[in-house]
Amino acid sequence: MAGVAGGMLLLAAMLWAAAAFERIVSPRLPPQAIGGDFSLQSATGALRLADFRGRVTLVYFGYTHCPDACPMALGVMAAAMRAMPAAWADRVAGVFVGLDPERDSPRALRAYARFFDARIHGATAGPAALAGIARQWRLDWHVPPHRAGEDYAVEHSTFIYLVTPRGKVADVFDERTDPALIAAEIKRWLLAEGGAK
Amino acid sequence: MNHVRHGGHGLRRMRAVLLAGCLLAAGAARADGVAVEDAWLRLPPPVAENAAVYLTIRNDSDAAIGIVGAAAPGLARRAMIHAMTMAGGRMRMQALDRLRIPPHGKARLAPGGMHLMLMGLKRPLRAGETVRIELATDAGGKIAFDAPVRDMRGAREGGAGR
Repeated sequence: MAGVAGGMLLLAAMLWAAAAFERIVSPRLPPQAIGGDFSLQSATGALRLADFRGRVTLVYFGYTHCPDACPMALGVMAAAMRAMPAAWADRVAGVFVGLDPERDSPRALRAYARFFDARIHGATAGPAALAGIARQWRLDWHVPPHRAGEDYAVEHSTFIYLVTPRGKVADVFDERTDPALIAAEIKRWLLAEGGAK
Repeated sequence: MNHVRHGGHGLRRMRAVLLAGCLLAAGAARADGVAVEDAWLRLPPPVAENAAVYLTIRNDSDAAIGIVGAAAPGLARRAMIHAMTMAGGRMRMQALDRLRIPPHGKARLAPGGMHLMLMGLKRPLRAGETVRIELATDAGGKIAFDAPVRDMRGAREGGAGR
């Protein structure tokens, strides 16, 4: 028993040591495919996820009337992006997808996202297109029935997705994640796939 | 962030807050035995119509109290207390008609947990300014407090446990 426990402890220590050296452990994609390319409307024209190839992109789905979870998440994304070395500043990007197209105009989304970092783009799509994206991205969201002009809150998953330079979702964080952890993962993927388009 | 938990420092601070509350609310805070501490407003993007205010409400009386209303006159069209819950993988905000605070208890409204939401902001906010907010209790009292506007970009979030 002691031998097994000792062996497991040793294994855990080795894994920990390996994880500490980010170049040793190659990043891996999750076994199930989540995500996929989408095309949205932004204030400056069409925004396609495919346009972000070669960069690590953080994707968050929220809405501009969101006072708590969305600003927290976008702040975490901005902090992670800013933790990159200057040479990699343009190798990271963010996308804030508005789930409330009735109130989330592309202009409002752009202003909302840029407040956190100019590299975070705001964009949205019609309800049907958003529903398709939500299925692909395993996202759960609900806009409650409401009258025109009425206040309402959109219920939504609060994931921050890490999209690799080749366009695959590799990791999922949320507004509670330490930006340093996200920054470390961004670096790993830039090292692994940074030259990829 | 500077959350007061126990001990003399907290008590001194609470007394100061209570005193300030009494001066501001012309005795209402003392009558209700309610104090507001550590209030702040999260600076929203300039385009945002809503903003979240975080605070701790202490009930120093021997009876339970209910917070039944909130307002930010001149600043927001409406204000209400929201609870955040995870429901089936979705973050859900729910308006609380009455926030009950037990005798000698407190309610902490913190990022990711509860917040006081200002809806329909009438003007953009600036980091560093202070805004006046009012709470109404079910005993008919009113508690006014000031909340500084904090720019949280680049700051570490404290937050409530989920």
